[in-house]
Amino acid sequence: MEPLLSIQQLTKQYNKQHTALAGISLDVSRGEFVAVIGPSGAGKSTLLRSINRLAEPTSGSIAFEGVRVEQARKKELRQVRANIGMIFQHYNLVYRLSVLENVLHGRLGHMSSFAGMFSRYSEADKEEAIRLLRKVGLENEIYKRADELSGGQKQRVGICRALAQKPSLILADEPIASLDPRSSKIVMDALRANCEEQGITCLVNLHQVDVAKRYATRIVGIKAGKVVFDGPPSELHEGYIEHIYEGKEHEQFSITNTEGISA
Amino acid sequence: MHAEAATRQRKAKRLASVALLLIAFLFSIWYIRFDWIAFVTGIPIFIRFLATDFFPPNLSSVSDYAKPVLDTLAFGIVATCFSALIGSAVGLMMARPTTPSGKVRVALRGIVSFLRNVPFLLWASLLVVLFGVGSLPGILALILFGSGFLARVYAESIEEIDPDTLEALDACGATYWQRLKHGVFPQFMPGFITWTLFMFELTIRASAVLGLVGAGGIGSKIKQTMDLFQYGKTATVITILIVMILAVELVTQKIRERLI
Amino acid sequence: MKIPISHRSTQRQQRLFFLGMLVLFIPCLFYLDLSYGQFASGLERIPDMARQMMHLSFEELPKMLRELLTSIIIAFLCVVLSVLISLLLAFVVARATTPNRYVSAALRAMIVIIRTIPTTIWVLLAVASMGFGPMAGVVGLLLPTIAFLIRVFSDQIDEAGRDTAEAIRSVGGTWWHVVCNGLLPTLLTGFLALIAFKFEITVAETVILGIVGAGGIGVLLQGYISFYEFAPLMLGMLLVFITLFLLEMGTNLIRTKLAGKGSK
Repeated sequence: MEPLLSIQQLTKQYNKQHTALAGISLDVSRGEFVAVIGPSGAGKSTLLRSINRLAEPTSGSIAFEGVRVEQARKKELRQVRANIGMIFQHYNLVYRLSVLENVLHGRLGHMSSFAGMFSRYSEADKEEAIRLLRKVGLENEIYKRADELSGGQKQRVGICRALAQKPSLILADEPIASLDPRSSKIVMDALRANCEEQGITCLVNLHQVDVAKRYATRIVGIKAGKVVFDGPPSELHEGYIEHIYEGKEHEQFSITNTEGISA
Repeated sequence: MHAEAATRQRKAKRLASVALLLIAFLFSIWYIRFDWIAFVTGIPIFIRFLATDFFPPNLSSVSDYAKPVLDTLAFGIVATCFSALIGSAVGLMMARPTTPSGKVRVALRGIVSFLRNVPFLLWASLLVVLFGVGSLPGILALILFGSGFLARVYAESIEEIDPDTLEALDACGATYWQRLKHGVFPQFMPGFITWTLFMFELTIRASAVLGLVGAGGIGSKIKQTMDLFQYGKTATVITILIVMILAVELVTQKIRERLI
Repeated sequence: MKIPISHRSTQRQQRLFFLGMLVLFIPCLFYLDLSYGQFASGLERIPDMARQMMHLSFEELPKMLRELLTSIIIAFLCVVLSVLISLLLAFVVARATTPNRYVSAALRAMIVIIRTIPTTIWVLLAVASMGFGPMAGVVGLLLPTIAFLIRVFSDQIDEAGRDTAEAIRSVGGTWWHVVCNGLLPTLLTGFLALIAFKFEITVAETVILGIVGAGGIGVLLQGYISFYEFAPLMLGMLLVFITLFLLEMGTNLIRTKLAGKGSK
């Protein structure tokens, strides 16, 4: 079967000195829950952002559902983005709008520019958005302003926004890096459960190895813009981990910091 | 040793700048033939003039001033609304996250900088020549100046919006207009309200000056009474002006507190 | 029934604001009774005026530069004199250092009133009492400039000076000690940025003061306008624009430089 996402020899150069991605190839099949691990600055974030072209890749190819993303023109790109949900470390909600409105933003990519501009969401979309919010335990927050929520709640809104897109792929860029262990667990559980239920493929950047091992079906280790490990969690041994985080041992502290999740 | 040299250098620098300032000061005095005696006697003359000729304020024709006051308020409201409209459009095209292209941005910044840096009163008197005496050139001057001012401060507010939230909308596949409506507008609202109210305050102050070049408003009464040497009446008009400005400031302050 | 989606009070407040604008705007527009004919005939004159403006001639340039310098000098003298006076008074007004609370309150009230009256009106009053000329410009600008500087200086003193003032007083220092040894040196850089800013604004004001008869390039510009000499007017406007633009860049430079120094 053709993979959902196929990345070939992807490179990204910010300037002459700084290479973020040094030739990454990666095939992701439908239904996988892939954790991308690696120290900060390894290129995890750039990799994810290249997939929906929030960052322009320097060379290489990205095929998503058969569409060449790196060559996509405005309209095509919009369609690609509409089918890829994205979750951010800092939630990136519009804080002066209601929670429900933020979730409905996920529908914009599927609407005409005009209808979207005047918030003419269909009643079915609204009901679906409310259902999603209920499911992640935010039934009392639907009409609150997004800035009234706690960090963990905001990230759950972020997940609902991505799910509202009815995407085939979700990209989550360090979704729990700014959260405490308890909220982290709620967020990761919600993400995992929803993806599994709706058959959504998911690519999550994490720097906590134990979280990655617990939730992922496959782990990709990245170091200095290159893939250095690719396999199921059971094969990720201490040796690999040490190699991936070599020279960045201080970040291992954050690994032990998330005991709340593994417990 | 090294530190000592640094202190000495700093001292020398300070001495040099003081000397430069002194030279500039002396040159200035020579250049405009500044007459110290006239200056020292001038200030008491000025103060005595304010104290004796202006007091007591002549209240005999207070009712005459109702119309200029209303005019000034109406001026301010109409000019603020137009300026907010034009300023928003130009500001959106000028702000980095929403500009259609870099060239448009640079060109508009140049035009707006010109509008703002040519003094307001000059625009007003130019427009009086073009459109004749009356409230029309006054309004147009306020709009011209206000649009430039608001475009700049609106653009600054828009550029202060967290780019991450706009990126999230891009990632959802939102179009330019959708991003504008759902990402930019809601977060720009506080800035818009604050600056628009401030603009209204400015127009009230400005219309005091507009009258001096024949462009209507309460300033025309100041000029009229002064030309006739009726300083008691001038004092009344200026008092009304002060009360008006303070009242408007109070009201806009209250609105701002409620809305933001 | 439709499902509402927005945050109700935020939306209501925003709608109220726009509704308020509209409700005020329409009757005001009718009240002012602006004549469309006047507007149209004015617009018709624009191309002709623009054509005349394009004939840039540099004949008047030396005269203009001389008067421009006069304008800048009026601003300079006014700011220098104002700084001298307001530096002293700011410490009297600031709550942290005021020797007498009632004097401070009285001065504050006066400052509010002085600042409320537009600068141009002050100059107009000065011209009326002293006659035409640069001197009236300096004197007229003096009061509002002093008022502005006292206010911003005293704000800074209040912000930064309370602890220093108390420290010096606690070891038995007098008021003069507090001001000259304690506060002035530490606050000076911040003051310089404010002075530069005020100088920029004052130049913008002096440039037009000629219109009310207080000397400088404004006199020339007003003359060109009233005699329909648009070609030199254009040159004058460009000159003013360039001056103010350069000044703005200069004060920005000073400000960033001083800010850098302050953090070191």
